Parts: sequence; structure tokens; C-alpha cells
Amino acid sequence: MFDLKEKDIIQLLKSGERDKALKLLYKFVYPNVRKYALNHGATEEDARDLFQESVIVFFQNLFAKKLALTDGFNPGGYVMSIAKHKHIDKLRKDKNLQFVNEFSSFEEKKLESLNFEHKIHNLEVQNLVTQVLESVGERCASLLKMVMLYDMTLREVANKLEYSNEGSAKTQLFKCRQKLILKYKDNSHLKNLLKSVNE
Amino acid sequence: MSSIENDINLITSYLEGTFSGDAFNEFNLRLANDLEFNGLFQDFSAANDALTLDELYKIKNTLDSFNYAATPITSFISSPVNWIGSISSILGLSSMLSFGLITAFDVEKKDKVVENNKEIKTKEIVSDASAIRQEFIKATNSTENLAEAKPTKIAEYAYVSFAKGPKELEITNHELKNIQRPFSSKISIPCQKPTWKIEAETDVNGVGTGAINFKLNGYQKDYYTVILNDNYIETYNNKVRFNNLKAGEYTVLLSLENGCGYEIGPIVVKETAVNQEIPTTNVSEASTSYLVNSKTETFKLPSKFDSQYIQIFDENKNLISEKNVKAGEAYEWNLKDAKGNKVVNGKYNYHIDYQHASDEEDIKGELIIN
Repeated sequence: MFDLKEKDIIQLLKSGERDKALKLLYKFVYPNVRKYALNHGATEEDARDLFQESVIVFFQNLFAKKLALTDGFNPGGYVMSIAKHKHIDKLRKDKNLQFVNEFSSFEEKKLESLNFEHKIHNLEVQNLVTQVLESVGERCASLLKMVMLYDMTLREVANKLEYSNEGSAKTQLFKCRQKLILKYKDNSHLKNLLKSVNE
Repeated sequence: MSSIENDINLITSYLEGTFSGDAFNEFNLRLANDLEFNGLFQDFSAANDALTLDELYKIKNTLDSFNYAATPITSFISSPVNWIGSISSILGLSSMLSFGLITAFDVEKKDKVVENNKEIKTKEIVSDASAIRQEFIKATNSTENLAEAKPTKIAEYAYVSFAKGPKELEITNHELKNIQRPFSSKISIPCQKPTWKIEAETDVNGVGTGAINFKLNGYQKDYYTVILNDNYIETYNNKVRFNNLKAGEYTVLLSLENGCGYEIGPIVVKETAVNQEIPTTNVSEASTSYLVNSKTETFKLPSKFDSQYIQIFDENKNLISEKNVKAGEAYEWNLKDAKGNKVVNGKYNYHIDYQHASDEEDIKGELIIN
């Protein structure tokens, strides 16, 4: 961890090292977001919120496969772009300002989130989702996330979670996937809640 | 394989895009005509959303845990107290282990800077202006621009960053904006090693109850960081405790405010067993019930299989404990939950997922704790 540079964020994400990647984003990107925000009329608290929201959008897009973690990809630059975009959007809303689109080269589509934002702030949804995932078991949840969200290969997962081989990881993946669906299926309250939040 | 298992496989393949031609059309046809299958498909997608949401909650929690009040790492203008600690983060601690890094300039701490009657930022005040001046002249080979500014002014607005490693000291002067060229200086001053005391507490029954206590002697409440594997603590307190450690070897990396770093270890957290004689149980029969006396016993299963993954649930199906047991090891549950608290008496369910040769099997049963 100690010699890591900003470019290592990609490798950390590819190996499911979420928290280490977040620390690097905080270390290398937050100062720039903060500087930008403070220079554009934001408070310290705004800067922190802006950084957090931008990182979450980055992860949403990553999980939705809108991003590819290629070697040339710059996560820090991407988060910074989201932050600028969001901040300008906020200013536009707050002050009804007209801006020349200074990020025209940036693909705005990539910035669109999956509309998870209101769900993230809904405590009831959070509690129920957490309950479902806990009932699946931490190990199962990790396995599912590594494969489905971070696109790790079964070999990588087998190494990381100490399964004897890829076949064993595959079997567990199937079982865990089934377990998650059944737990979710049985939780009609969560199902209804998610539906109502979506509407 | 049951029909639901088949259907889940089918949906997975569909979503992974491995279908082609007829199979793809057949799938869509079924999706349109089979309500139950369509429902499963919806649940599958929604369960994936739940997985994404859970991960985003965890990301948000981690982001919340960061100390935003501390100095941002690459711009040393908000909180001087953490200044060199932040620099050390950039340098990479390992590079400091063999190299003591101290700036040639004394750094004073000033909490507030007022510009235009408005408190704007907290800045580092580098007191030794003449040193900066000399460095500047040496680096730029010129006194041009410098003559226009008073040394104190240069010092006041200078901030220091270490962009290329411990030997590269880069000084940028905000006030002299027309100076484009950064300059550098090589400074090496040996560290004065402090003393510390470190103690390890044992991990009882191998469930992660171990701890490491670290105490820095004679330290005057200056800022420093201690890193134990993935645990990263920034503190002013001379005592640091790392909890919930499993038995094993650990290394503590200490980074002091003056930039000196030390590697301490290995520190061994031993595992001790609380021996409680309990009846040996046999898990070869499925759906077996066991009775465990919480005052005198633990729940113990013999090493029978190549590897076992064991989960304990309470009556409400909440996961209480889970453990992956390697080949040849016995499983023992000390009747405590993941936080180390003794569970209440009552009925619990165990679920053993084990591998035997190339085969896998599940065993479920219940245990009564009284």
C-alpha cells in the first residue's frame, strides 16, 4: 500500500481492493476536487460532498460496465471530471446560471448515474439491502461482488478467497447467486420498497 | 439440477451474452410467455441491483470515514498540523524506512490566514526565508523576480512538495507567479530514533480477538501515523491499539511528523484455545440436533473433510458466525458472535458446506444452547 501511486488505482480495483483504491482516490484526487471547489465558491463541506458523490458515480458507472479499466484509463481524471460537471450543474441550478459547456469533450453520457443516488440516501432501503446481503453471508457477498461488480476472473477469485480451484469457485458462485436471488425473492418488503423508490 | 437452478443458469448465460441464434430467440420467447420465469428474471436483475447498492453503501461508509479536516495530500494549504504526515504519504512510507527526511526549513504552524478581511485558508508558514531564498537562487541561477519580493513574503507563501521521492524537494512560490521553473534541493538529515513499547494480546480460539498495543515513549503529542497491515491510523495520541486481530505475524510501520519512518516487527499474535471438554459430535448424519451447555461447552466438530465452510444462523436466519476450515482442522465455535459477544441461549442452525475429494455436499442441522 505504501508505495502506491495514482495509476495503481486501476490494478487495485481489478483485484477487488476497494478500500485501498478509495484511499488512493482520497489521497490523490480529493485535494484537486477540494481546490477546484473552493476556488469556485464552494465550502469545505461542499467540497467533501462533491468528492464523495463523484466517487460514487464513478463506481456506479464502473459496476454498470460503462467504464473499462484499461491501462490507459485515468480514474483520477474521470472523478475530477465528474466533480467539475456536478459542481457546474449545482451552480447552474442554484443560481440559474448559463455556462458555456467547458467539458464538451467529455462524454456526458458516461457521467449519468444509474439513479442509485436516492436509494443510497434511503435508510430503510439500506437496512433491508444490508439484511439481505448479511443473510447471504459475507463470503458469498464478497464472491458475488468480485465477479459481478469488479469483473474478476474465477481464477483470481479462487486465489483470493482460497478456493481449491476455479471449479470450486464456480460452484460457489452459482450457489451464492442462487442464495442471493432466493433471499431477495423472499423479501417482499424490500422488493416493494425498491419498486416504489424506482417509481 | 433443479428447474430453478437451470433457470438461473439460463438467465446468467443470457445476461453474459453467451447465447446466440436460436437459444437467444427461445429465451426471449419464454420470457414473454412464462410469467414465473419472467418473475425470476426480474428478481435476478433486482438482486444484482441490491448487490450494487450494498457495495455503494460500503463505499460511502469508507468515504465517510476519511478525515476530511486533515491536510489534503497534494496541496499543503489547509491544515499545517498534518503537513509532513501528508508528505510522507506521497513519498511512500517504504522509501522513508531507510532515509530520514527533514526539511531544511523550520516550519511554524499558523492556523489562520486572512486575505481581504476574509479568512480563506490555513497556510504553512516557512520561517526560514533566507534558506528558501538561497535554494531559489541556486536552482534558478538567477535573482531575477526574487529581488522584487521581500524574503519574508517569499517565505510566507511558499509551500513545499515532494513529488519525486525523498531526495527531491520541490518548492513552489505562489506569490511569484511568473516563475515557472521549479527548483529542487537534496537534503538528508539522519533521524533520531525514538523508543516504543509494543505488546501483543493473544487470539482466543482463533476467532480474531487478538490485539496489538503500541506506545511511543517520550512523544510530545505530535502527529504521527501507524500502519499495521491494512489498518491505517493517524493520531496525536502516543498510545494506539489494534483490535480484532487474528493469530499471525504483523508489522507496524511508524511514520513520525518529522518524516522519519520505522518498520517494527514481526509482532506475533498467538492463538490460545480455551479448552472446554465437550462431547465429540459426528456430522455424518444430516439434520442432527445437538445440545450445548453454554456454561461449560463449545460447539466442536471433528476434522472430517478436506475443507469445510461453516455458517451458524439464529432462529431469524441471521448469520451469527462463519468460518472456512482448512483440511485437517477441527471446527470449534466458542458461542460468540462476530463481535465477540456471547450469544443468547436458544436454538441455532448450522450449515456445513464441505468438499470431499472432488465432491461437495451440504449438511444442515440445529443446535440448542442452554
